[in-house]
Amino acid sequence: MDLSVPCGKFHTRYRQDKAVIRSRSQWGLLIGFLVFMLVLPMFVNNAWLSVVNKIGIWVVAIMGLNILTGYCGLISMGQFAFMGIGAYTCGILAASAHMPFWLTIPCAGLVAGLVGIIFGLPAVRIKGFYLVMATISAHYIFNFAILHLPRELAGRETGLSVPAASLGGFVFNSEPRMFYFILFFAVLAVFLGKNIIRTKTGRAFVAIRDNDLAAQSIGVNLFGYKLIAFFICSAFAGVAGAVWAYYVRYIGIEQFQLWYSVWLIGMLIVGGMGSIVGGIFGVIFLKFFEEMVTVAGPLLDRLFPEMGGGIVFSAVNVMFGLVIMLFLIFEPKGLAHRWELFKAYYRLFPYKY
Amino acid sequence: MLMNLLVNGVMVGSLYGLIAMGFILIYKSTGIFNLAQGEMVMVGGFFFWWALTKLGLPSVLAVFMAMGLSALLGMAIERLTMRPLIGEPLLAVVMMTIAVSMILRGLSLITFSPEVKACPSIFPEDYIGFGNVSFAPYLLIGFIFSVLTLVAFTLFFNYTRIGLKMRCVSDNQLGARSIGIPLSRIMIVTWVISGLTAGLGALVFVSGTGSISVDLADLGMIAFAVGLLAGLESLPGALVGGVIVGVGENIAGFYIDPLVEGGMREVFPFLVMMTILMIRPYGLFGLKEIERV
Repeated sequence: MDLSVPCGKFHTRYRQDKAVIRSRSQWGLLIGFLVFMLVLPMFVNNAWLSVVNKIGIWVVAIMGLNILTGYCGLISMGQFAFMGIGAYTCGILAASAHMPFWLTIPCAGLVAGLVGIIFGLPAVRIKGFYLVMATISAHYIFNFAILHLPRELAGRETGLSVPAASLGGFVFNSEPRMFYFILFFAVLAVFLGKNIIRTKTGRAFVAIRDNDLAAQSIGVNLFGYKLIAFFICSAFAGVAGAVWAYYVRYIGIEQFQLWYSVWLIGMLIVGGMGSIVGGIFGVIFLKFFEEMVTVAGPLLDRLFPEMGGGIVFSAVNVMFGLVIMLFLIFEPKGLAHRWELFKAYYRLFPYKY
Repeated sequence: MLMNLLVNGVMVGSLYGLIAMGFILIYKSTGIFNLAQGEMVMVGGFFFWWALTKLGLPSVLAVFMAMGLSALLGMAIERLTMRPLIGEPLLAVVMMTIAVSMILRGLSLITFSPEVKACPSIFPEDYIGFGNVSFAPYLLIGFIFSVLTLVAFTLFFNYTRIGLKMRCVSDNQLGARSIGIPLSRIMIVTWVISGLTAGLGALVFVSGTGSISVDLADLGMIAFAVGLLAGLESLPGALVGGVIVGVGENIAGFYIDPLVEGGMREVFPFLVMMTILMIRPYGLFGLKEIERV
């Protein structure tokens, strides 16, 4: 008598094996999640929606960073500079050339990507942490460049106001409307991120990360793929910046400081490098953390009156630093690893393994 | 005028070199790219300011106190954050230094508040002049300190036992451990010396410029640029790189700034660094790594 029971999903075709979404319950969860996101603005107020919107924009940015740092093993601390380049490209095109958003956003991605390649050039010949500095210097050079663009074009230190995005007669000018706008790009970014990793290019990235010499000796073109990784990373940042520009509709260089790039790296550590879902977890986790500190801001202000409002930024820095530190020591693989463990536990439930 | 810019540039640059040395020291002996170096300098500066103005110590005592506390800070960073990560990938360790820099910056903002504070000078304040060259005495003192530090480091690495051991660790951590070099002791010595260097650089800067704020940490960024310019392995290179950046910055500030409406001075170190990284990726004095499979 045959007592064996099926203990997994058995695919009979390659198509099934290669699919991103493999089972019916995964389809159900995905559709359920998207429906939940679509109806979300009906249930939450604008304050919370703005948190969700910011998370959406950071998710777009972190997808790019994850491909570069998590999958290709190159570290970039200039993600917000590239976001700034995207935002300003988009802002200038929208404000001065009156281009619609479906043109400006791809342009922003393209320009940011090309600039990213320039800062990625040192990566081609060296590895390790030289790259950190090259990308940090992107911030300084970005600041310099924006402050020296013509005033009527980029606004310099006064900032640049960006007209609201509109499609047909529909203007994206309120928090719930922007929510759908951002949701579209966040979903697109996750979809692209997930799929770039599954292509030949993505596998080349992983090969470079795991052992660049071995990768080179089996015929992976390091030069090309490292630059492609930089292009993709910065292009995602550029798109995120453009969406940000349409969201806040008033951009200035102080929105694209080095600290945010550092936070983004921190989010990647907390979430888990080299995992698409990890990036999302990281952003959500630390953004809600930041939100909690911001909510506690008035209390902190009373405790430290001499800070005059700067306390939130400092407290967020200390908290983020501590969280990153604890994660590095106790859970270096990040939340994504916990999530995998949980999934395995759930799948096998009454049994241990 | 040019002569004046050159002399001042050399002196400021040597101070950058001094700060870069603390950073290169850590890189050389443990392979860690310490992104918190700027914050260590800043905190060292705050220690000095605190000892001098809040505790009202005489300047010599304040100097010793600042240096001692900076050394303790280096020790604490090593003990609390670097030690648990021995054996982890370097990327994780560098991320840890980022976390350290965030915590140090946040804590200093909370403790010392963000505004710029005045700090009394412990050095003579009258400018020293030869012909049409004049400079502040603190720059000369900084220059002397930098050169002395470099000499001390060179002697230390070449002639002391622990210095040699540090070079072993940097060459091959696993190999060094297997011949019985205590990695944890080497690391703590490295971080303490680096903290001392940061404290020394900080107190010269703070006392010389007469003000301190959290922005002092940006010196660290310039120090990174100097370090990369020189190549991360070379201590004398740090001084040379610092001088290049200092002189270049002064000249760019004087001759190019009026043409481009300012800002060139701040961005110059980074432009130089990017150029160098593209032409000579290992810096001016760095070792080109040859990998064999």
